[in-house]
Amino acid sequence: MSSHNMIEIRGLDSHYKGRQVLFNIGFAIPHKKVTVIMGRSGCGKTTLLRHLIGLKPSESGRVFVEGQDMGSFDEKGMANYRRRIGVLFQSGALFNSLTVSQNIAVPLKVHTRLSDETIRIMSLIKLHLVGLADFLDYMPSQLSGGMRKRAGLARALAMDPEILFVDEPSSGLDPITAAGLDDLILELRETLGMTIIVVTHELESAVKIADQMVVMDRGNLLAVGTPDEIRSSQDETVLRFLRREAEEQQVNTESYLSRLLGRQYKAGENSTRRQGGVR
Amino acid sequence: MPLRFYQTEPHQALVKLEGNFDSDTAPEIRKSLIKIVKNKGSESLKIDFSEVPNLGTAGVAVLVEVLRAMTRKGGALELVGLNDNARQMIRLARLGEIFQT
Amino acid sequence: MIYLVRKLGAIALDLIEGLGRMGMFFFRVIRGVGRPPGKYLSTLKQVQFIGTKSFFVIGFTAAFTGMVLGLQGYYTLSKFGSEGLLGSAVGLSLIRELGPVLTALMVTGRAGSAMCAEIGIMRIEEQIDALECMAVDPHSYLITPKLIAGLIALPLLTAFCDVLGIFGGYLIGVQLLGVSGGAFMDGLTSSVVWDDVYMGIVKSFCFAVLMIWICTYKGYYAGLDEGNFGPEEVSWATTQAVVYASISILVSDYIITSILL
Ligand SMILES: Nc1ncnc2c1ncn2[C@@H]1O[C@H](COP(=O)(O)OP(=O)(O)OP(=O)(O)O)[C@@H](O)[C@H]1O
Ligand SMILES: [Mg+2]
Repeated sequence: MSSHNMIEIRGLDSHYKGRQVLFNIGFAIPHKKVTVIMGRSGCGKTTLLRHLIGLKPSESGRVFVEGQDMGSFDEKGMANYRRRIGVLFQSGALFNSLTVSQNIAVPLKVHTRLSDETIRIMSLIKLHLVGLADFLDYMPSQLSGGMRKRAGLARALAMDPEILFVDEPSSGLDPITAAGLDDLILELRETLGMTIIVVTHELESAVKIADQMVVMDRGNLLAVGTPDEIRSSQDETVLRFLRREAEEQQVNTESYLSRLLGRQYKAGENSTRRQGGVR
Repeated sequence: MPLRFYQTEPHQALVKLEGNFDSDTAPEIRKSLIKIVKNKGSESLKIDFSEVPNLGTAGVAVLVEVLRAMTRKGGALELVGLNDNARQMIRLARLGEIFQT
Repeated sequence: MIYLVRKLGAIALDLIEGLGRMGMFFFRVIRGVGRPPGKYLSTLKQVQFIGTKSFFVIGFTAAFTGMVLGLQGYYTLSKFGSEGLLGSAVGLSLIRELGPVLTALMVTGRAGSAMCAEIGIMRIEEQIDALECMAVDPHSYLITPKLIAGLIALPLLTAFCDVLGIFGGYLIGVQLLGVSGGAFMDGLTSSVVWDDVYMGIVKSFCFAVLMIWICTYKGYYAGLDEGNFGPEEVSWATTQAVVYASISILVSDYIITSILL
């Protein structure tokens, strides 16, 4: 295995209650690079992220961290891995009984013996980074959705992580703030050499920050490559995704109609039958 | 984490740090630095970072505290021998101008 | 027929799995006692939470239960002409049985349900996942302080309940029904021995563990069985937590009494 890969995923399947949502996913996340995961809503990006941070055990397929199988991690191994990562959840996942600065202080209080004053300065530094320095003592419920996201990012950065996972950092943000976050992500990679995995819907921002792009479609991996490679891809679905074209919805229409009209309507049968169903 | 203190001139003190200055080592370094600032009352303190491979946000935060204590006494704080990593950490905290890096 | 067997088997397996998970959960919470960060502050906060939530309810319940005990006890005892035993009757039933049980039930309803909902909301809002991703053990960080706080608060509240209940009984028996005050207090002090108090204390410790365990467990795994996390999962978990905790308090009350008697 190449030592340039921080994380490697091989043949990963994933299920929720028997329903398969990821199919044979395999790609590598290079060291000190920004990897952007794209795909339409519900295609399994968050699920994939949950596998990478060890919140969802892999039933079949493996996730390797620096060549070590995550499935073989014991409690301690997992804790060691997690001390090296920072995660921004799609919902922000702030602790709503704590102020913003106390949120950021949680990992610091548990893992270090830093004084309260040092911790306060650290959370101020992190909050300033995401443009929230004025909201140190606000409760999460007093913040807007986009501010909560940014506070979550500040918390993810609290322990100076080596690997940063961010699930849709710019959803709910205005274009200017979103661009600021893109710059921050690039700066983190540039200056600290962080390995960063970003889930996003924004094609522009993806192309701007990605060293590697991963495109997913309905639980399948469509394409992996640099933004240029992806853009020059010949694959129909990828191109359509990039052009933001609505997919032809033939398959869905049929199941939709059969759902509406009951069993009389059989997919693929002719229109007389359909009229019968309506009548 | 060794920390060496030199009184170079009457109003000049030099502290040489050796080893990482991150969230693991910061509590101890902080204690020593604050003590030095309190007791010696030197008008200017120089901290030598040439033997510090890694500076974390915790280290930057401690430096902010030391700077605060020094300015309260009317002294100055100077950081020397910063490597690229440390410089970037300080800039990332948007404190580049305050520490003149 | 086969369907029935299979169904039963599935239920049994679920039950065993659930019990195993509850055991693991408890083990992790206990293990959290010695782990950083220091838990003094969070434990104290929880003690305050339990106390303020249930103080007045317990006070009311205790006073009125004591008063009812006074009335009923007087009515029954006067049939045998032994009203003088009222003090010991009221005292013993409160200290041995009613004090611990009533307190635990009230705390379950007030603080236990709130704890369950709090943890359940943290679960569905991914806050518990977030803790895990910071390598912070949610058991030790969230639940352990609650358990310790329960162990501190419940005996204290039980004592409070006992005192108020006895006062209620005294009020009715002595002030209203004319039992001699001296006889009341005499019966109380002569019949209540250390063993009775001991039983009350043992009970309140056991109830504290059971209540916190069940309530936090239900919240922690809210919606996990269904695989979907929503507000209705939390409310369902809270209801279940209160019911199960109350039942297990009553059942274990019987068991402890039969063992210690
Ligand atoms: N807790 C869950 N229980 C059952 N199914 C789930 C659960 N979470 C997600 N799913 C299903 O898994 C699939 C992938 O969901 P996922 O959240 O990974 O999508 P996503 O790509 O992150 O979407 P979005 O961009 O909208 O966040 C969806 O079809 C969803 O219905
Ligand atoms: Mg998602």
